[in-house]
Amino acid sequence: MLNKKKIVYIFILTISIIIFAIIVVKTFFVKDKIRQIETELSQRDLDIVFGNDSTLVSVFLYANYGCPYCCKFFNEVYPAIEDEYINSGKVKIIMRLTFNSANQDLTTAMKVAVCVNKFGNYEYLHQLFLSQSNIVYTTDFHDMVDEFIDKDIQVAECILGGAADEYIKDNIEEFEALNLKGVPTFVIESKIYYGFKEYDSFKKILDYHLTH
Amino acid sequence: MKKIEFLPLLLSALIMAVAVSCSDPKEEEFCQEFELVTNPSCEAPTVCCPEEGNCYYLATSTGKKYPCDASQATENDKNGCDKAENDYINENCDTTKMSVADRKSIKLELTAFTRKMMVKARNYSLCN
Repeated sequence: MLNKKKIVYIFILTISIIIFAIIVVKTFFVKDKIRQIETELSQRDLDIVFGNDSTLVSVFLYANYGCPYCCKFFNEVYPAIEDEYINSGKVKIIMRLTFNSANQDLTTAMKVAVCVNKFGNYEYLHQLFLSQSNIVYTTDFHDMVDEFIDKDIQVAECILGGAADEYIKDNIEEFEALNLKGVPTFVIESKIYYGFKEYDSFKKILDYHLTH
Repeated sequence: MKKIEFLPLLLSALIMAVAVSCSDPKEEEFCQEFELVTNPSCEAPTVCCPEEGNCYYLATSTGKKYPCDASQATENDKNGCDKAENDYINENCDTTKMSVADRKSIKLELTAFTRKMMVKARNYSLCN
């Protein structure tokens, strides 16, 4: 008959083996659960693109300027990505404005964003939205939009003619169809990466896609 | 009991501590999540549900009813629904959540940098 010491020892040993086995399985056999989409996304006409057309990797970014971590990405991570990957032609970031609001001011601002990006110079508006996303609710901003519409027929047609509305609607429908959780979300090739990432994490992801 | 008998347990604990401490934090927590349940008719609650001669607007998200008042009907508001419609919009629609006063305060709070960016955006966003 087993004495008490042996029973305790066998119990401890069994628990240890089970814990060890769980750790081994978790560490070496369970792959990261990165969700994948079935078909790769393609660039659309009104997409806001940071980078050249001929790049090796396209990063689709679902974002909006009211999202603090989207702005954090552009303020803290994007400059380093631009230096290392975008300026060298390796990567481009395709931003698809995605927001959940029926707010007319916000909708108009997003339409202005995609239309100015298409027919004008988006750099300053982008910086303006990053510095203060609530600017879209001010009368100054409304006046500026009116001025854009008065001055540029292409921008006016894009904003008022339905193209921008359609584009933004498509973004939201696509976001829903892909069953994405929120913004920011990055889709690279067919892989989905949720949430803000520090530069080191993002660099690893980009390097992986550039080498595979 | 000899101390060596605890060695497997200590070893496992050590490995587990290393495995847990080296794993990446859940970055999804940084995600700004939102429900994609849009309410395109929010700005104009045109569906008025009939109820005992009157009708009411229904906020589907909260289930709250906004009843019309036929006794308040006027020539321009034949069913007395204006107040109900306004109450619905005021309580459910984003556009009315920011009052004129709020907009003015935002305007006052704009930083010098934002003002500078605003001028640049106004002057340099169009090509011609």
